[in-house]
Amino acid sequence: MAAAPERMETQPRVVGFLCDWAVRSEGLLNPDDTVVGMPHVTVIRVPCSGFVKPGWLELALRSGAAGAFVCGCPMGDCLNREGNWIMEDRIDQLRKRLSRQKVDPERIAFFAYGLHEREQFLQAVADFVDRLRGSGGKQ
Amino acid sequence: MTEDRSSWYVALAGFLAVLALACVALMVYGEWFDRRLVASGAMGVLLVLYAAIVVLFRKARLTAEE
Amino acid sequence: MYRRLLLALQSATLRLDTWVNRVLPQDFNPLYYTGGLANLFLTILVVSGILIFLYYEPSLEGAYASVEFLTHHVPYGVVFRGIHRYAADAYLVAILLHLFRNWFTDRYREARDSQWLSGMFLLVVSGFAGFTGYLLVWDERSQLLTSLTTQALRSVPLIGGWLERVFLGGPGVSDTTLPRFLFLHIGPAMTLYVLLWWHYVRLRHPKIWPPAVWVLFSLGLLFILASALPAASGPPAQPGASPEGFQVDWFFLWPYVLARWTAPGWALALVVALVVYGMVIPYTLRETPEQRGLRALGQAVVVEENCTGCELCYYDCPYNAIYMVPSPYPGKSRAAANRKLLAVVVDSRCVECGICIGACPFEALELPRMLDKDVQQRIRRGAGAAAPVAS
Repeated sequence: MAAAPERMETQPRVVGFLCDWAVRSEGLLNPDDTVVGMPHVTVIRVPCSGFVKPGWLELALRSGAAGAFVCGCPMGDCLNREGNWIMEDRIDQLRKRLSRQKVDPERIAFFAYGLHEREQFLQAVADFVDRLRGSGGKQ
Repeated sequence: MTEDRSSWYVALAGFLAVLALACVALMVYGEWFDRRLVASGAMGVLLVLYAAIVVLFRKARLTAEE
Repeated sequence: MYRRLLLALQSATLRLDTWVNRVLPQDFNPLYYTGGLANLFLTILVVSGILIFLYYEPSLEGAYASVEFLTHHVPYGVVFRGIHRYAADAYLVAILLHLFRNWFTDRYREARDSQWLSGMFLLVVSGFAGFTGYLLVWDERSQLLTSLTTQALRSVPLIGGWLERVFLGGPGVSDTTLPRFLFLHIGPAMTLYVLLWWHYVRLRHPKIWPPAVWVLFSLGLLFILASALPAASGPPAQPGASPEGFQVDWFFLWPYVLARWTAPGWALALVVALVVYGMVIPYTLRETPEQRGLRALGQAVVVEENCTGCELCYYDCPYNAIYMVPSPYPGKSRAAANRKLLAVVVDSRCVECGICIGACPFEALELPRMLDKDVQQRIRRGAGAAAPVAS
């Protein structure tokens, strides 16, 4: 699932936000926020995907990350009823803003995975990293 | 593979639409010959078929989320 | 033990969600619309109920005959009667799904107790209206139900006799009884809408209607049921007769099945005990957030010098926990200098989800134990930048 170790240093850096109620995070993260087995991916746990400010995603891109993502619960399943819908809207708007600023909007992603979907979540993150590497990573 | 699937969904939706037409015929028959339970039953089947067609259209990606 | 059971149920509920999502498109998943489905069935009940009401005659002699007339002589009368009958069952099923789903997924705790309490009241009133509906037909079953209920009410200490007279509309079954039953059917149905206001008042954008697909499917299913198994009355009630058994509708009449084995008073006591227990559920599990494996980040706080009164947080808060009040004085930041309004967080409604923080472009809201600057620090570290990058 994670890339082969010898290619690790070439992996683009990614910053993500993970809702506490979405994918179960026990044993998923190292103490320094990086994902176990994916040292280039940082995941910050948040109380709800709606907590994430779009500005934080921009900050991640500006600070050198190749991409940034938010993972919420499956749509409709949000504990707070509509946190993930709101976040999806905000990400759409952020993408439009980024493309006006000539930044590739594909560097921002939104995922929705539930309590039992850790494998799918990790796969989605790995695919996202692959896409970023394919498109040249950060510019 | 997804392309294959979606044409299959559309074909199924078409078949259900033909069944729905048959339900309309049954409704007319029931009203005409005073067999109203047949008419209302056909109406119920018709509505369920329409619901199934809506789902199939979505699965075939002919309609989008909101 | 109890807590482990609830955790297992929560896990199973969410697993069921993802399983349904694999079969159906996500926004068609009926489990996300249990409340909306209940509301749909309630609307069907009201509309079909009004049509039946036009033909119903609330009197001892006329009630049974008027229902028979509706069933056999009014075009599609039997269909409407059947729809009213089966929509009531479907309504209760939807309510119970809604109840268990929100129970198992912890959506009743702390700030959401008001929805839970109003929901319990809705359940009780709905159950009562469903039960009185069976009395209106005035067949043998209605008669038996009436006598069982009368016995149960009479066995209530102190106010038993009074309750019985209120229920029957007089000292015994008389000409005033059926108008009383009719009121006891329609009155609670109207009360439901008052309770629904309470149910929704703390929610922004409540999902009160299922997607079109489920409206079509539910209506269709009701039509099929009403045609395949037409609703019918039992033999008419006879004064002085004491009927033995009846066809049980398990959704509404289960207390009466109990009453067969024990005294009716005990069945009533059991129902009351269940409802009271249901109402204290949000207050029984006094666990700290740490025991629940959560981080307590503290309730959202408005940084009042930065608030511009733009109302974005007010629109996004799912619990109506943010109010906009006239600003007593201007804010300190440039954007906030000319504000007219100020956001205020209502503590008793805040669930610490932080959605308002994501909504605020002016750094005017914070969760006390997860501050904006700390998150930014972690982002920079993750992105590989040692120092802040000027924008």
